[in-house]
Amino acid sequence: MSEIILDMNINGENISIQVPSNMRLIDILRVKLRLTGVKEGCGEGECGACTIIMNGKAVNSCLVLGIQADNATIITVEGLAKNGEMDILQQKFIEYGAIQCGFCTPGMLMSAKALLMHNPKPSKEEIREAIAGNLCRCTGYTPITKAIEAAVKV
Amino acid sequence: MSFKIYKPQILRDLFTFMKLYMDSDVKLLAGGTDFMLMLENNKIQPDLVIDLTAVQEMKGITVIGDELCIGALTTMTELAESALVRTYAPLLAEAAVSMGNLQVRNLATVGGNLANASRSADVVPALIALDAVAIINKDDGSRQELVEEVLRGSRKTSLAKDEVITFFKLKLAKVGTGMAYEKLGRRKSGAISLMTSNIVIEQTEGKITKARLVFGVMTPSARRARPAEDFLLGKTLTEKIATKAAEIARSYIVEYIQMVRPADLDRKELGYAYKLPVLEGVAKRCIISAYEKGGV
Amino acid sequence: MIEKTIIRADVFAKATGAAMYADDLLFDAMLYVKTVMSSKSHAEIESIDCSEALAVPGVVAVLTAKDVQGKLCNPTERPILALDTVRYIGDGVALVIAESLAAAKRGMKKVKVNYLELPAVYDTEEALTDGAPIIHGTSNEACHWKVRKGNLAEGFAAADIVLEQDFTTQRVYHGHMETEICIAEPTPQGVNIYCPGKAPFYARQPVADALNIGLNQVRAIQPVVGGSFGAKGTDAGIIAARAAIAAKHTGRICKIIYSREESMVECTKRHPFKLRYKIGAKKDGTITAMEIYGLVDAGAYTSETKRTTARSCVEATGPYVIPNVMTDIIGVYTNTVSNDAMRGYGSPQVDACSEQIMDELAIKLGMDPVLLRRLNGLKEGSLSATSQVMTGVSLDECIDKLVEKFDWYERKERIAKSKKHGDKVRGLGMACMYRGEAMGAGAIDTAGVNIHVEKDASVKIYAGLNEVGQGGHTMLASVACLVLGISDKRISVARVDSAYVPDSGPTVASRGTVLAGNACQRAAEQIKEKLAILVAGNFKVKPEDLSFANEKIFITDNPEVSMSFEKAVQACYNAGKNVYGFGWWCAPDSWMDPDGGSCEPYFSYVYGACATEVEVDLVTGKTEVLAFAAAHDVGHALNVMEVENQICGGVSMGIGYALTEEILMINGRVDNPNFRWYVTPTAVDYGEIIPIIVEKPSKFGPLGAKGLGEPATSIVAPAILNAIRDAIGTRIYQMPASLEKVATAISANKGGKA
Repeated sequence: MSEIILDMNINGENISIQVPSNMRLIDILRVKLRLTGVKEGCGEGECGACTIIMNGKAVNSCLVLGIQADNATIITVEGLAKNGEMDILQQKFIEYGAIQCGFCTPGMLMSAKALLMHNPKPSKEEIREAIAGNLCRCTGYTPITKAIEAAVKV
Repeated sequence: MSFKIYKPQILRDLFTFMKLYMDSDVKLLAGGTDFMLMLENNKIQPDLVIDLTAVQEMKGITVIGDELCIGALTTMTELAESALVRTYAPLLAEAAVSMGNLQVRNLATVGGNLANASRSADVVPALIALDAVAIINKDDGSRQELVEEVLRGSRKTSLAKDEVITFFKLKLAKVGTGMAYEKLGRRKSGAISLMTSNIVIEQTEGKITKARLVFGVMTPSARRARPAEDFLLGKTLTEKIATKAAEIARSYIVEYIQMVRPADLDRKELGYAYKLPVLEGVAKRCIISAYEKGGV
Repeated sequence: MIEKTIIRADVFAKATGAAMYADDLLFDAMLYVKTVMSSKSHAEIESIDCSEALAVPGVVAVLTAKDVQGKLCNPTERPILALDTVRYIGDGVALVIAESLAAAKRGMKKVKVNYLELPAVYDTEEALTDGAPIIHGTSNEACHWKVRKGNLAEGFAAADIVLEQDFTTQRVYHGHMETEICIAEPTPQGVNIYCPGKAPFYARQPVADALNIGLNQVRAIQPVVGGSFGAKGTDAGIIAARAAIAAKHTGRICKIIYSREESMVECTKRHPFKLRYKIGAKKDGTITAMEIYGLVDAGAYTSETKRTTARSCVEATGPYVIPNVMTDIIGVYTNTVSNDAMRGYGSPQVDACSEQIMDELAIKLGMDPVLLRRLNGLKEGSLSATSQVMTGVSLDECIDKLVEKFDWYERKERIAKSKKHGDKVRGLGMACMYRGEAMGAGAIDTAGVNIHVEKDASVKIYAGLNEVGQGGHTMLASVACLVLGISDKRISVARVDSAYVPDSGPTVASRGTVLAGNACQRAAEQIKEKLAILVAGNFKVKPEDLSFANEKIFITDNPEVSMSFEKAVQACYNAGKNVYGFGWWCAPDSWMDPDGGSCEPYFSYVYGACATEVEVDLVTGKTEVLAFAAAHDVGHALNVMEVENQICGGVSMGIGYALTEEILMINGRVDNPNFRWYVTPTAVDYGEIIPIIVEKPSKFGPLGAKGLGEPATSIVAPAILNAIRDAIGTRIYQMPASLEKVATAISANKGGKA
């Protein structure tokens, strides 16, 4: 079993971790680091439930091999709240009823966060485009879009 | 099954390593969006994986002289957002943004898109329509090849085992050039391409001086529809001419498939019965749109 | 009547990633289980060779049906593992138990099953022909439901126009974001199962059967559930039983988690229908007769086919007064993946067809489709197709509000003026519905809810109604708040654990609000009564003179005289009394006549009306929903925001049903078992959804409320299909309206209306 050592900054904390060479980033996060907010919905990059932010970009952590995350800065849903206070996106998701079964929620939040990190005032179309890689079966996306719009206005 | 991993920082180290492991099952990892699927499905079981993501020499988009140089590791998002690409090769930016979903575009690279040589590759047909050249390097040399010629059928390329695509070059669009792109998919985001239409038209005083018509997914490797391009040369576009060019493009595709894989035309899952008439309609409106954009 | 919106309690953990779904639970020394699935559509199992699989490092055991001590299944139902016959590609054949998921996967590939292939049948019509391979017993007919009313021949004779049309609806997948999963933990007495699903209490039955133990030895504990929509019912039971068998065999905790592909290959889908409609009407639009014949693809096992077929038979005419009706809907076994409930079970399929034939009738008569529906629509006291006297009918209210909020006539005028936009054309379509509430005929439909008011006046609700994402637990909290006049901050709802909560029945049939809501209301009313008696004594008034609101109990005619809820609770405890309530609600009788005679198959019905504007690309056949409005009578919106969002979600799913979603089967094999080729809508695929709430209080539901989950999706597809017809001048009779079908319809109509 070939193992590698990865250095990463995850949710603001520098870590060094030894993992099998063929381990996907999603498994490193979920299994090794117990960041189980990262969800696996398809394992093929189609549903977006495992979306995290890597070096400022939203990516599907199921499509990232561990080595690709070496020296990367990663944010997961667990890293959104600061000092016990939820991120404005989390607050608005709650306020607008954007969460039903909740399985897509962490991925949705990360896609939305990545958008706002490089485009603080996106249009409705830009918001929809940013979450188009995240499937949701409960909400029809309507309250999610509204929640992100509301977060933008704050 | 696990494998060894090597993550070079510079091209020289990459080539040294590739030469050293010529006899092993080596797989190159760029964006990883196809690689990971193959790995998970046990379609590949490499001994060694070389992660290219740290090789800075394969990144970046620059203009050198009258050419746009695009590093092979440039992601779809970087292509789509690049002011240079949007100005000088808007077709490529549009093709890039139509690929998969944002999370995939943030990983997938232009070099990987060509090296995988998938029939439904999203940006490769646009590169062909732009007459892009791939710069291919190895330990002791380099060569240049038109992207169209790198492709040798579905999942087949001209790349030797020790070769790597390092960057692409394409001529900056001249004044009077118009481009149009359209993708046919079952939904707007994250859709597999059923067909893509990649049109580049150059004109001088209303007369077409150069035309490139490439239709992705329709053939095992994307090919220029040369008879339709030739037909347009020297003409001032009218609706009738656009219609005729689209018809010729369709006939060309049919003839090409009859030549390379005749049985494909009747394979229901390839959907030619539906796609061929659509190609004609889409080609027509893209030709008109490209011509109009270049005419300003 | 609209109440303030309370924030769901489950969303805080879901927003931060702290919510624990089954795959997030951590147990020591857990084993992983993989199911070896049949690769044949129909075959006898001659032998199973596990030796190579057992030799794979990490594999602990391989189990087959022969290792199961108890019952594998009821006749015609899907077995936990197939004993001697497999009936579809996906039937479970063996379980590989290993120390890691990877080892289980490797072992799975090494199990050698020798099959003796049998002829298979994939089509319902073929399955009913003489000489077709028989899948169960002596006939492939799983069930046959009938509705008979009036005299059909006379009805058609009285008609000025008769239309006849065949339709098909496709097999679709729930697309719940969390796949099927179960963790089973052996206990000295039995087994604990962590198996997210719509019916935790039901899932215990196959576990108990397989292990030969009592229901009281199977404890079902619900983790957070990542979506159901009708999935995770039958499948959850089977998977739970497999995990339990593995756990009992090894004495260790065992986990089964399905990949997306496994979920799509093995697990149940929505029934595909073939339907033939014949409708007769007078020139003025009055419908005189309707004849409907349908074949329902059950797949390889019965599952929810009987109830689905019965519902579709009852609702097949749509919400109209039709004096002469003959409906026959037959469930048929085929060697394909088993079909079960999916959001509407039986409604979406017939609604898609009845609302298209209505639309076609309007076109043929040159009538406004809204007017035609108003003219024939059910009114208070009308007789339904099963000759049930309809009460609480709100179809007209739904249509009125829809027409107003969607600007139906203004849009119609605008489109008439500018229909074509480049290569694209626009069209408008509408559809109406009625739908029987809850499980209906043949089911003993009941629910229990406990409410404990603690000594500090905080309130805990214990109910078996599961929170699958729909907001069921918040609904319970809302009902308790409204009855007791208290803030939702006092209330928490326990997670479903069969060891502590009463059975509230499954989370199906849009029954949660009515059934569990009523039980909750009753439990809350018991508490209210206990508090009222005590407070009335203090104030020297009668209990009925008191009101409960704003955290206070006060004299209705003299609100100044009041006691806080908290004080009242403490006073009650101090007086040595309990402040508990146990509510039980049993749905009123409902029944169906096997011969099709008059019957009351559901105790109550809900109504709705939808409309949409679409744009079709004449070159590609691509249809885009520009705007969609959906008006639903929810009786009493207990939580306005959640109701609106539930409507939006239902519309989204319906858009997928109409346009892109289809499980493709080639010779019994699912050909598109992933989200790459099974195409659900994304956030950029449609325009605005306009949810419209209609409130005509129900005499059955808690505080007048009605169920909504399934109605929200039922008539989305026909509204879109009708709009496509309006846009291109040709109708799509076979769902979904894919690129190919729409393009074909356009080319068939070249030079026509479009």
